[in-house]
Amino acid sequence: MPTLHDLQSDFRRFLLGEAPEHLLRLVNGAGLEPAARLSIYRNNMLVTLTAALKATFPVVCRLVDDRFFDYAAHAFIQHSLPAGPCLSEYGDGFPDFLARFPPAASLEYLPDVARLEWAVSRVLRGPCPESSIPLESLASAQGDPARIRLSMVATSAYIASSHPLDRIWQLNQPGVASVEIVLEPTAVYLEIRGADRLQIIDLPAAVWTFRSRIADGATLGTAAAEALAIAPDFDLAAALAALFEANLVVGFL
Amino acid sequence: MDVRPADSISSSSLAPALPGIGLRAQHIKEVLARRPDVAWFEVHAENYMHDSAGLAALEQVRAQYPLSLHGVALSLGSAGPLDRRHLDRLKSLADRLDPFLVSEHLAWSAHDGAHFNDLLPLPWTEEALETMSSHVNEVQDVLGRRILVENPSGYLRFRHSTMDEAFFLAELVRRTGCGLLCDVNNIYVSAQNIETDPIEYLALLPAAAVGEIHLAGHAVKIVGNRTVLIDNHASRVSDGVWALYREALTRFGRRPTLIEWDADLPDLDTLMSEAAKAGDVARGI
Repeated sequence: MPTLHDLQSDFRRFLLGEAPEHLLRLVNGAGLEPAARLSIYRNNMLVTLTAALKATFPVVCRLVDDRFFDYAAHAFIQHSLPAGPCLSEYGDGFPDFLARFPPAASLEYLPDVARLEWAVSRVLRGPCPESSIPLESLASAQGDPARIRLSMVATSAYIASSHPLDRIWQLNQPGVASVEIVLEPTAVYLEIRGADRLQIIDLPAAVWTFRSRIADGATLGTAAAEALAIAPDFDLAAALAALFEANLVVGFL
Repeated sequence: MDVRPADSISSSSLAPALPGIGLRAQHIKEVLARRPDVAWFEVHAENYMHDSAGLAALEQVRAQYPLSLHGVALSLGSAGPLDRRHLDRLKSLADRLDPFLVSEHLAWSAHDGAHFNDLLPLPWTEEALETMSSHVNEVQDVLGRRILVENPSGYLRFRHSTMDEAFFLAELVRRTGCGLLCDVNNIYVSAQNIETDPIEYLALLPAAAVGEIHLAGHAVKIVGNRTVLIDNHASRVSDGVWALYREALTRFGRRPTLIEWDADLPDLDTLMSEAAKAGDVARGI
Protein backbone atom coordinates (compact mmCIF):
# COMPACT_ATOMS: atom_id res chain seq x y z
CA MET A 1 0.00 0.00 0.00
CA PRO A 2 1.53 3.37 -0.95
CA THR A 3 1.99 6.14 1.55
CA LEU A 4 -0.22 9.17 1.12
CA HIS A 5 2.82 11.16 0.01
CA ASP A 6 3.73 8.61 -2.67
CA LEU A 7 0.17 8.47 -3.93
CA GLN A 8 0.02 12.25 -4.20
CA SER A 9 3.39 12.32 -5.98
CA ASP A 10 2.09 9.85 -8.56
CA PHE A 11 -1.15 11.79 -8.87
CA ARG A 12 0.83 14.94 -9.55
CA ARG A 13 2.72 13.15 -12.31
CA PHE A 14 -0.58 12.05 -13.83
CA LEU A 15 -1.92 15.60 -13.75
CA LEU A 16 1.14 16.71 -15.68
CA GLY A 17 0.65 14.15 -18.42
CA GLU A 18 2.34 10.97 -17.25
CA ALA A 19 0.57 7.69 -16.48
CA PRO A 20 2.26 6.15 -13.42
CA GLU A 21 1.49 2.42 -13.29
CA HIS A 22 1.38 2.43 -9.48
CA LEU A 23 -1.42 4.96 -9.53
CA LEU A 24 -3.43 3.29 -12.28
CA ARG A 25 -3.39 0.03 -10.32
CA LEU A 26 -4.76 1.78 -7.24
CA VAL A 27 -7.87 3.10 -8.95
CA ASN A 28 -10.99 0.98 -8.93
CA GLY A 29 -12.24 1.29 -12.50
CA ALA A 30 -15.78 0.01 -11.87
CA GLY A 31 -16.92 0.19 -15.47
CA LEU A 32 -14.47 2.83 -16.59
CA GLU A 33 -10.74 2.69 -17.29
CA PRO A 34 -8.72 3.99 -14.31
CA ALA A 35 -6.97 6.44 -16.62
CA ALA A 36 -10.35 7.78 -17.75
CA ARG A 37 -11.38 8.36 -14.14
CA LEU A 38 -8.09 10.07 -13.33
CA SER A 39 -8.37 12.16 -16.48
CA ILE A 40 -11.54 13.77 -15.13
CA TYR A 41 -9.41 15.38 -12.42
CA ARG A 42 -6.76 16.41 -14.94
CA ASN A 43 -9.45 17.98 -17.11
CA ASN A 44 -11.04 19.74 -14.13
CA MET A 45 -7.64 21.15 -13.18
CA LEU A 46 -7.04 22.39 -16.73
CA VAL A 47 -10.51 23.95 -16.88
CA THR A 48 -10.01 25.74 -13.55
CA LEU A 49 -6.51 27.01 -14.30
CA THR A 50 -7.40 28.01 -17.87
CA ALA A 51 -10.40 29.95 -16.57
CA ALA A 52 -8.12 31.68 -14.07
CA LEU A 53 -5.73 32.67 -16.87
CA LYS A 54 -8.63 33.90 -19.00
CA ALA A 55 -9.82 36.03 -16.11
CA THR A 56 -6.39 37.62 -15.81
CA PHE A 57 -5.64 37.85 -19.56
CA PRO A 58 -9.03 38.55 -21.20
CA VAL A 59 -7.57 40.78 -23.91
CA VAL A 60 -5.01 38.18 -24.92
CA CYS A 61 -7.87 35.68 -25.13
CA ARG A 62 -9.93 37.99 -27.30
CA LEU A 63 -6.99 38.67 -29.59
CA VAL A 64 -6.24 35.00 -30.26
CA ASP A 65 -9.72 33.44 -29.72
CA ASP A 66 -10.77 30.88 -27.14
CA ARG A 67 -9.39 27.78 -28.84
CA PHE A 68 -5.91 29.16 -29.32
CA PHE A 69 -5.93 30.57 -25.80
CA ASP A 70 -6.92 27.16 -24.38
CA TYR A 71 -4.13 25.53 -26.39
CA ALA A 72 -1.55 28.01 -25.13
CA ALA A 73 -2.90 27.90 -21.57
CA HIS A 74 -2.75 24.10 -21.42
CA ALA A 75 0.84 24.16 -22.60
CA PHE A 76 1.68 26.83 -20.03
CA ILE A 77 -0.02 24.93 -17.20
CA GLN A 78 2.00 21.79 -17.94
CA HIS A 79 5.10 23.94 -17.82
CA SER A 80 4.22 26.11 -14.85
CA LEU A 81 1.70 25.12 -12.17
CA PRO A 82 0.59 27.74 -9.66
CA ALA A 83 3.13 28.31 -6.91
CA GLY A 84 0.45 29.50 -4.48
CA PRO A 85 -3.14 28.85 -3.55
CA CYS A 86 -4.74 32.09 -4.83
CA LEU A 87 -5.76 31.87 -8.48
CA SER A 88 -5.56 35.62 -8.97
CA GLU A 89 -1.81 35.35 -8.31
CA TYR A 90 -1.36 32.78 -11.07
CA GLY A 91 0.08 33.79 -14.41
CA ASP A 92 3.14 35.92 -13.81
CA GLY A 93 5.13 33.69 -16.16
CA PHE A 94 2.49 33.66 -18.90
CA PRO A 95 3.77 36.73 -20.82
CA ASP A 96 7.29 35.31 -21.07
CA PHE A 97 5.86 31.92 -21.98
CA LEU A 98 3.93 33.51 -24.85
CA ALA A 99 7.11 35.19 -26.03
CA ARG A 100 8.72 31.75 -26.35
CA PHE A 101 5.61 29.93 -27.63
CA PRO A 102 6.28 29.16 -31.32
CA PRO A 103 2.60 29.10 -32.42
CA ALA A 104 2.28 32.72 -31.21
CA ALA A 105 5.52 33.92 -32.80
CA SER A 106 3.75 35.94 -35.51
CA LEU A 107 1.87 37.98 -32.89
CA GLU A 108 4.80 40.11 -31.77
CA TYR A 109 2.64 42.34 -29.59
CA LEU A 110 0.99 39.49 -27.69
CA PRO A 111 3.57 39.04 -24.89
CA ASP A 112 3.51 42.80 -24.20
CA VAL A 113 -0.30 42.81 -24.09
CA ALA A 114 -0.03 39.98 -21.58
CA ARG A 115 2.50 42.01 -19.57
CA LEU A 116 0.05 44.90 -19.48
CA GLU A 117 -2.78 42.62 -18.34
CA TRP A 118 -0.59 41.10 -15.63
CA ALA A 119 0.26 44.61 -14.44
CA VAL A 120 -3.43 45.53 -14.43
CA SER A 121 -4.20 42.41 -12.41
CA ARG A 122 -1.41 43.17 -9.96
CA VAL A 123 -2.35 46.79 -9.32
CA LEU A 124 -6.00 45.87 -8.84
CA ARG A 125 -4.93 43.44 -6.11
CA GLY A 126 -2.96 46.14 -4.37
CA PRO A 127 -3.89 47.63 -1.01
CA CYS A 128 -6.65 50.19 -1.01
CA PRO A 129 -6.42 52.91 0.07
CA GLU A 130 -2.73 53.67 0.52
CA SER A 131 -1.67 56.83 2.33
CA SER A 132 0.59 58.92 0.13
CA ILE A 133 3.01 61.51 1.44
CA PRO A 134 3.33 65.13 0.18
CA LEU A 135 6.27 66.67 -1.65
CA GLU A 136 7.14 68.62 1.49
CA SER A 137 8.18 65.34 3.12
CA LEU A 138 11.34 65.46 1.02
CA ALA A 139 12.52 68.46 3.02
CA SER A 140 12.60 66.38 6.18
CA ALA A 141 14.60 63.55 4.59
CA GLN A 142 18.15 63.23 5.89
CA GLY A 143 21.30 63.28 3.74
CA ASP A 144 22.03 63.87 0.08
CA PRO A 145 18.73 64.30 -1.85
CA ALA A 146 20.26 62.49 -4.84
CA ARG A 147 20.63 59.35 -2.71
CA ILE A 148 17.02 59.26 -1.54
CA ARG A 149 14.97 56.20 -2.52
CA LEU A 150 11.20 56.53 -2.52
CA SER A 151 8.61 53.89 -1.80
CA MET A 152 5.88 53.94 -4.43
CA VAL A 153 2.28 52.77 -4.09
CA ALA A 154 1.79 49.07 -4.71
CA THR A 155 -1.10 49.98 -6.97
CA SER A 156 1.09 51.28 -9.77
CA ALA A 157 3.11 49.55 -12.48
CA TYR A 158 5.20 50.58 -15.49
CA ILE A 159 5.23 48.87 -18.89
CA ALA A 160 7.05 50.09 -22.00
CA SER A 161 6.50 48.60 -25.42
CA SER A 162 7.09 49.25 -29.09
CA HIS A 163 3.42 48.39 -29.69
CA PRO A 164 0.41 50.61 -28.87
CA LEU A 165 -0.69 48.46 -25.95
CA ASP A 166 -3.08 51.01 -24.50
CA ARG A 167 -5.04 51.21 -27.77
CA ILE A 168 -5.06 47.44 -28.16
CA TRP A 169 -6.26 47.06 -24.57
CA GLN A 170 -9.00 49.67 -24.95
CA LEU A 171 -10.27 48.24 -28.24
CA ASN A 172 -10.63 44.82 -26.68
CA GLN A 173 -12.64 45.64 -23.61
CA PRO A 174 -16.07 44.07 -23.04
CA GLY A 175 -18.75 45.89 -24.98
CA VAL A 176 -16.37 47.30 -27.57
CA ALA A 177 -17.38 46.03 -31.00
CA SER A 178 -14.81 43.93 -32.83
CA VAL A 179 -13.09 45.94 -35.48
CA GLU A 180 -10.14 45.12 -37.64
CA ILE A 181 -7.68 47.97 -37.63
CA VAL A 182 -4.08 48.36 -38.54
CA LEU A 183 -2.07 49.74 -35.66
CA GLU A 184 1.26 51.18 -36.61
CA PRO A 185 4.11 50.28 -34.29
CA THR A 186 4.14 53.07 -31.73
CA ALA A 187 6.32 53.17 -28.67
CA VAL A 188 4.30 53.58 -25.48
CA TYR A 189 5.46 54.24 -21.95
CA LEU A 190 2.58 53.23 -19.75
CA GLU A 191 1.85 53.92 -16.13
CA ILE A 192 -0.89 51.68 -14.75
CA ARG A 193 -2.65 52.83 -11.61
CA GLY A 194 -5.11 50.72 -9.73
CA ALA A 195 -6.68 50.98 -6.30
CA ASP A 196 -10.32 51.91 -6.74
CA ARG A 197 -10.11 53.11 -10.35
CA LEU A 198 -7.95 51.69 -13.11
CA GLN A 199 -6.00 54.18 -15.20
CA ILE A 200 -3.57 53.46 -18.04
CA ILE A 201 -1.58 56.57 -18.88
CA ASP A 202 0.92 57.00 -21.71
CA LEU A 203 3.75 59.11 -20.26
CA PRO A 204 6.60 60.95 -21.99
CA ALA A 205 9.56 58.57 -22.21
CA ALA A 206 11.72 60.53 -19.78
CA VAL A 207 8.97 60.84 -17.17
CA TRP A 208 8.25 57.12 -17.52
CA THR A 209 11.92 56.32 -17.05
CA PHE A 210 12.13 58.56 -13.98
CA ARG A 211 9.06 57.04 -12.35
CA SER A 212 9.73 53.43 -13.28
CA ARG A 213 13.32 53.57 -12.05
CA ILE A 214 12.14 55.03 -8.73
CA ALA A 215 9.57 52.25 -8.54
CA ASP A 216 12.39 49.76 -9.12
CA GLY A 217 14.22 51.17 -6.09
CA ALA A 218 16.74 53.47 -7.82
CA THR A 219 17.88 56.64 -6.07
CA LEU A 220 16.45 59.98 -7.17
CA GLY A 221 19.88 60.81 -8.59
CA THR A 222 20.05 57.69 -10.75
CA ALA A 223 16.44 58.01 -11.91
CA ALA A 224 16.98 61.66 -12.84
CA ALA A 225 20.23 60.90 -14.69
CA GLU A 226 18.55 58.19 -16.76
CA ALA A 227 15.64 60.48 -17.56
CA LEU A 228 18.02 63.27 -18.60
CA ALA A 229 19.90 60.84 -20.86
CA ILE A 230 16.64 60.31 -22.76
CA ALA A 231 15.50 63.94 -22.77
CA PRO A 232 18.09 66.63 -22.03
CA ASP A 233 15.26 69.08 -21.31
CA PHE A 234 13.80 66.79 -18.63
CA ASP A 235 12.48 69.05 -15.84
CA LEU A 236 13.41 67.25 -12.63
CA ALA A 237 11.63 69.68 -10.30
CA ALA A 238 8.39 69.46 -12.26
CA ALA A 239 8.61 65.66 -12.56
CA LEU A 240 9.20 65.30 -8.84
CA ALA A 241 6.29 67.58 -7.99
CA ALA A 242 3.99 65.69 -10.37
CA LEU A 243 5.03 62.38 -8.86
CA PHE A 244 3.91 63.49 -5.40
CA GLU A 245 0.80 65.27 -6.69
CA ALA A 246 -0.30 62.01 -8.29
CA ASN A 247 -0.24 60.43 -4.81
CA LEU A 248 2.22 57.82 -5.98
CA VAL A 249 4.71 58.07 -3.11
CA VAL A 250 4.00 56.41 0.21
CA GLY A 251 7.34 56.82 1.97
CA PHE A 252 11.10 56.39 1.88
CA LEU A 253 13.11 53.20 1.42
CA MET B 1 -38.28 34.73 2.31
CA ASP B 2 -39.08 37.68 4.51
CA VAL B 3 -35.76 38.22 6.22
CA ARG B 4 -34.38 41.72 5.92
CA PRO B 5 -30.68 42.40 6.19
CA ALA B 6 -29.79 43.68 9.63
CA ASP B 7 -27.77 46.84 9.97
CA SER B 8 -24.99 45.05 11.75
CA ILE B 9 -24.57 41.35 12.23
CA SER B 10 -21.94 39.65 14.33
CA SER B 11 -20.80 36.06 14.21
CA SER B 12 -22.60 35.50 17.48
CA SER B 13 -25.89 35.83 15.60
CA LEU B 14 -27.63 32.55 15.04
CA ALA B 15 -26.70 31.09 11.70
CA PRO B 16 -29.62 31.81 9.39
CA ALA B 17 -31.42 28.60 8.53
CA LEU B 18 -32.68 30.26 5.36
CA PRO B 19 -30.93 29.81 2.02
CA GLY B 20 -28.00 31.97 1.05
CA ILE B 21 -26.17 32.63 -2.19
CA GLY B 22 -22.57 32.20 -3.26
CA LEU B 23 -21.40 35.74 -3.95
CA ARG B 24 -19.09 36.38 -6.89
CA ALA B 25 -17.28 39.64 -7.56
CA GLN B 26 -19.49 40.35 -10.60
CA HIS B 27 -22.54 40.78 -8.33
CA ILE B 28 -21.11 42.81 -5.46
CA LYS B 29 -21.92 46.25 -6.87
CA GLU B 30 -25.49 45.17 -7.55
CA VAL B 31 -25.86 43.71 -4.06
CA LEU B 32 -24.65 46.97 -2.52
CA ALA B 33 -26.97 49.02 -4.72
CA ARG B 34 -30.10 46.86 -4.40
CA ARG B 35 -29.70 45.34 -0.93
CA PRO B 36 -31.58 42.28 -2.17
CA ASP B 37 -33.64 40.10 0.11
CA VAL B 38 -31.02 37.39 0.62
CA ALA B 39 -30.49 35.80 4.04
CA TRP B 40 -26.70 35.52 3.76
CA PHE B 41 -23.81 35.24 1.35
CA GLU B 42 -20.79 32.98 1.06
CA VAL B 43 -17.50 33.85 -0.62
CA HIS B 44 -14.38 31.90 -1.50
CA ALA B 45 -11.73 33.00 0.97
CA GLU B 46 -8.94 32.85 -1.62
CA ASN B 47 -10.63 35.58 -3.68
CA TYR B 48 -10.23 38.11 -0.87
CA MET B 49 -6.74 37.59 0.49
CA HIS B 50 -5.46 40.91 -0.77
CA ASP B 51 -6.18 44.14 1.02
CA SER B 52 -7.74 45.47 -2.15
CA ALA B 53 -10.75 47.41 -3.35
CA GLY B 54 -12.50 44.06 -3.77
CA LEU B 55 -12.10 43.31 -0.08
CA ALA B 56 -13.27 46.80 0.84
CA ALA B 57 -16.45 46.21 -1.19
CA LEU B 58 -16.97 42.85 0.47
CA GLU B 59 -16.68 44.51 3.87
CA GLN B 60 -19.56 46.76 2.86
CA VAL B 61 -21.60 43.66 2.02
CA ARG B 62 -20.58 42.14 5.33
CA ALA B 63 -21.88 45.20 7.18
CA GLN B 64 -25.33 44.38 5.84
CA TYR B 65 -25.48 40.59 5.63
CA PRO B 66 -24.20 37.51 7.48
CA LEU B 67 -21.23 36.05 5.63
CA SER B 68 -19.78 32.57 5.36
CA LEU B 69 -16.13 32.07 4.41
CA HIS B 70 -15.46 29.05 2.21
CA GLY B 71 -11.82 28.05 1.76
CA VAL B 72 -10.90 26.15 -1.37
CA ALA B 73 -7.12 25.85 -1.20
CA LEU B 74 -5.89 24.96 2.29
CA SER B 75 -5.30 21.42 1.01
CA LEU B 76 -6.23 19.78 4.31
CA GLY B 77 -5.56 16.33 2.84
CA SER B 78 -1.99 16.97 1.71
CA ALA B 79 0.57 14.54 3.06
CA GLY B 80 2.94 17.41 3.84
CA PRO B 81 2.50 20.27 6.28
CA LEU B 82 -0.16 22.93 5.86
CA ASP B 83 0.86 26.18 4.17
CA ARG B 84 1.14 28.32 7.30
CA ARG B 85 1.33 31.57 5.36
CA HIS B 86 -1.95 30.73 3.69
CA LEU B 87 -3.50 29.71 6.98
CA ASP B 88 -2.36 32.98 8.54
CA ARG B 89 -3.97 34.88 5.66
CA LEU B 90 -7.20 32.97 6.25
CA LYS B 91 -7.01 33.85 9.93
CA SER B 92 -6.55 37.56 9.11
CA LEU B 93 -9.49 37.47 6.73
CA ALA B 94 -11.73 35.66 9.21
CA ASP B 95 -10.79 38.16 11.92
CA ARG B 96 -11.64 41.01 9.58
CA LEU B 97 -14.93 39.66 8.21
CA ASP B 98 -16.26 37.89 11.31
CA PRO B 99 -18.04 35.17 9.30
CA PHE B 100 -20.70 33.02 10.92
CA LEU B 101 -19.24 29.94 9.21
CA VAL B 102 -15.78 28.94 8.01
CA SER B 103 -15.47 25.85 5.85
CA GLU B 104 -12.95 23.83 3.87
CA HIS B 105 -12.80 20.53 1.98
CA LEU B 106 -12.10 16.87 2.44
CA ALA B 107 -9.51 16.92 -0.32
CA TRP B 108 -5.99 17.90 -1.26
CA SER B 109 -4.98 20.44 -3.86
CA ALA B 110 -1.25 20.99 -3.40
CA HIS B 111 1.79 18.75 -3.23
CA ASP B 112 5.44 19.58 -2.61
CA GLY B 113 4.97 23.26 -3.47
CA ALA B 114 2.83 22.82 -6.58
CA HIS B 115 -0.81 23.91 -6.48
CA PHE B 116 -3.40 22.26 -8.69
CA ASN B 117 -6.43 24.32 -7.59
CA ASP B 118 -8.64 21.29 -7.91
CA LEU B 119 -10.14 19.25 -5.11
CA LEU B 120 -8.30 15.96 -5.49
CA PRO B 121 -9.35 12.62 -4.00
CA LEU B 122 -8.05 10.91 -0.91
CA PRO B 123 -7.92 7.22 -0.13
CA TRP B 124 -10.14 6.45 2.84
CA THR B 125 -7.33 5.06 4.97
CA GLU B 126 -6.19 5.50 8.54
CA GLU B 127 -3.15 7.45 7.36
CA ALA B 128 -5.33 9.90 5.42
CA LEU B 129 -7.66 10.19 8.39
CA GLU B 130 -4.74 10.99 10.71
CA THR B 131 -3.47 13.57 8.22
CA MET B 132 -6.86 15.23 7.86
CA SER B 133 -7.45 15.18 11.61
CA SER B 134 -4.09 16.75 12.34
CA HIS B 135 -4.63 19.49 9.77
CA VAL B 136 -8.21 20.21 10.84
CA ASN B 137 -7.02 20.49 14.44
CA GLU B 138 -4.25 22.86 13.36
CA VAL B 139 -6.68 25.07 11.43
CA GLN B 140 -9.15 25.15 14.29
CA ASP B 141 -6.36 26.02 16.73
CA VAL B 142 -5.10 28.88 14.57
CA LEU B 143 -8.55 30.25 13.76
CA GLY B 144 -9.78 29.73 17.30
CA ARG B 145 -13.05 28.32 16.06
CA ARG B 146 -14.68 25.20 14.69
CA ILE B 147 -14.64 24.74 10.94
CA LEU B 148 -16.93 22.76 8.67
CA VAL B 149 -15.44 20.18 6.31
CA GLU B 150 -17.17 19.54 2.99
CA ASN B 151 -17.61 16.13 1.40
CA PRO B 152 -16.05 15.98 -2.08
CA SER B 153 -17.52 15.18 -5.47
CA GLY B 154 -15.95 11.86 -6.43
CA TYR B 155 -14.88 10.41 -9.74
CA LEU B 156 -12.93 7.43 -8.45
CA ARG B 157 -12.34 5.24 -5.45
CA PHE B 158 -8.93 3.95 -4.43
CA ARG B 159 -8.68 0.19 -4.04
CA HIS B 160 -6.74 0.44 -0.80
CA SER B 161 -9.45 2.44 0.99
CA THR B 162 -10.38 0.67 4.21
CA MET B 163 -13.54 2.58 5.06
CA ASP B 164 -16.42 4.44 3.43
CA GLU B 165 -16.20 8.16 2.78
CA ALA B 166 -19.14 8.95 5.08
CA PHE B 167 -17.61 6.89 7.87
CA PHE B 168 -14.30 8.72 7.30
CA LEU B 169 -16.12 12.04 7.75
CA ALA B 170 -17.94 10.84 10.85
CA GLU B 171 -14.64 9.74 12.36
CA LEU B 172 -13.05 13.08 11.43
CA VAL B 173 -15.85 14.82 13.34
CA ARG B 174 -15.30 12.53 16.33
CA ARG B 175 -11.54 13.12 16.41
CA THR B 176 -11.49 16.88 15.81
CA GLY B 177 -14.86 18.28 16.83
CA CYS B 178 -15.20 19.86 13.40
CA GLY B 179 -18.58 20.27 11.76
CA LEU B 180 -19.67 19.11 8.35
CA LEU B 181 -20.66 20.98 5.24
CA CYS B 182 -22.94 18.53 3.49
CA ASP B 183 -22.78 19.17 -0.24
CA VAL B 184 -25.85 17.38 -1.52
CA ASN B 185 -24.85 17.82 -5.15
CA ASN B 186 -21.49 16.21 -4.41
CA ILE B 187 -23.19 13.22 -2.81
CA TYR B 188 -25.45 12.91 -5.85
CA VAL B 189 -22.55 13.24 -8.29
CA SER B 190 -20.41 10.71 -6.42
CA ALA B 191 -23.28 8.25 -6.19
CA GLN B 192 -23.61 8.23 -9.97
CA ASN B 193 -19.88 8.19 -10.64
CA ILE B 194 -18.67 5.61 -8.15
CA GLU B 195 -21.90 3.77 -7.48
CA THR B 196 -22.55 4.61 -3.86
CA ASP B 197 -25.94 4.82 -2.18
CA PRO B 198 -26.71 8.49 -1.45
CA ILE B 199 -29.38 7.71 1.16
CA GLU B 200 -27.03 5.44 3.02
CA TYR B 201 -24.35 8.11 2.80
CA LEU B 202 -26.66 10.67 4.44
CA ALA B 203 -27.57 8.14 7.12
CA LEU B 204 -23.91 7.61 8.03
CA LEU B 205 -23.21 11.32 8.57
CA PRO B 206 -23.55 12.54 12.17
CA ALA B 207 -26.61 14.78 11.82
CA ALA B 208 -25.75 17.05 14.72
CA ALA B 209 -22.43 17.96 13.10
CA VAL B 210 -23.96 19.21 9.85
CA GLY B 211 -23.70 22.98 9.97
CA GLU B 212 -24.37 23.87 6.36
CA ILE B 213 -25.69 22.40 3.13
CA HIS B 214 -24.50 23.20 -0.40
CA LEU B 215 -26.63 22.88 -3.53
CA ALA B 216 -25.29 23.32 -7.05
CA GLY B 217 -25.68 22.25 -10.63
CA HIS B 218 -23.67 19.60 -12.41
CA ALA B 219 -22.91 18.68 -16.00
CA VAL B 220 -23.75 15.33 -17.59
CA LYS B 221 -20.95 13.88 -19.74
CA ILE B 222 -20.45 10.60 -21.52
CA VAL B 223 -17.02 9.09 -20.82
CA GLY B 224 -16.41 5.77 -22.55
CA ASN B 225 -19.79 4.10 -22.34
CA ARG B 226 -20.66 5.66 -19.01
CA THR B 227 -22.55 8.69 -17.93
CA VAL B 228 -20.35 10.79 -15.66
CA LEU B 229 -21.60 13.75 -13.66
CA ILE B 230 -19.20 16.67 -13.36
CA ASP B 231 -19.60 19.00 -10.40
CA ASN B 232 -19.18 22.25 -12.31
CA HIS B 233 -21.43 24.76 -10.48
CA ALA B 234 -22.59 26.14 -13.81
CA SER B 235 -26.32 25.48 -13.94
CA ARG B 236 -29.52 25.17 -11.91
CA VAL B 237 -29.83 22.47 -9.26
CA SER B 238 -31.10 19.25 -10.87
CA ASP B 239 -34.35 17.53 -9.92
CA GLY B 240 -32.45 14.58 -8.47
CA VAL B 241 -30.44 16.87 -6.21
CA TRP B 242 -33.60 18.65 -5.03
CA ALA B 243 -35.04 15.26 -4.09
CA LEU B 244 -31.89 14.34 -2.19
CA TYR B 245 -31.98 17.75 -0.47
CA ARG B 246 -35.43 16.86 0.88
CA GLU B 247 -33.95 13.64 2.25
CA ALA B 248 -31.09 15.58 3.84
CA LEU B 249 -33.44 18.05 5.52
CA THR B 250 -35.63 15.24 6.75
CA ARG B 251 -32.60 13.70 8.40
CA PHE B 252 -30.72 16.82 9.56
CA GLY B 253 -33.47 19.38 10.04
CA ARG B 254 -33.22 22.84 8.53
CA ARG B 255 -29.67 24.00 8.00
CA PRO B 256 -28.13 27.09 6.37
CA THR B 257 -28.27 26.13 2.70
CA LEU B 258 -26.22 27.73 -0.04
CA ILE B 259 -26.83 28.00 -3.78
CA GLU B 260 -23.39 27.67 -5.39
CA TRP B 261 -22.99 28.89 -8.95
CA ASP B 262 -19.43 29.74 -9.95
CA ALA B 263 -19.12 29.33 -13.74
CA ASP B 264 -21.34 30.72 -16.52
CA LEU B 265 -22.64 33.01 -13.83
CA PRO B 266 -26.30 34.05 -14.27
CA ASP B 267 -27.89 37.26 -13.04
CA LEU B 268 -28.54 37.79 -9.37
CA ASP B 269 -32.29 37.24 -9.76
CA THR B 270 -31.71 33.72 -11.10
CA LEU B 271 -29.60 32.92 -8.04
CA MET B 272 -32.29 34.37 -5.81
CA SER B 273 -34.94 32.23 -7.49
CA GLU B 274 -32.87 29.10 -6.79
CA ALA B 275 -32.46 30.20 -3.17
CA ALA B 276 -36.21 30.80 -2.93
CA LYS B 277 -36.81 27.29 -4.24
CA ALA B 278 -34.53 25.90 -1.52
CA GLY B 279 -36.56 27.86 1.00
CA ASP B 280 -39.79 26.38 -0.37
CA VAL B 281 -38.37 22.87 -0.08
CA ALA B 282 -37.32 23.50 3.51
CA ARG B 283 -40.73 24.84 4.46
CA GLY B 284 -42.32 21.72 2.98
CA ILE B 285 -40.44 19.35 5.27
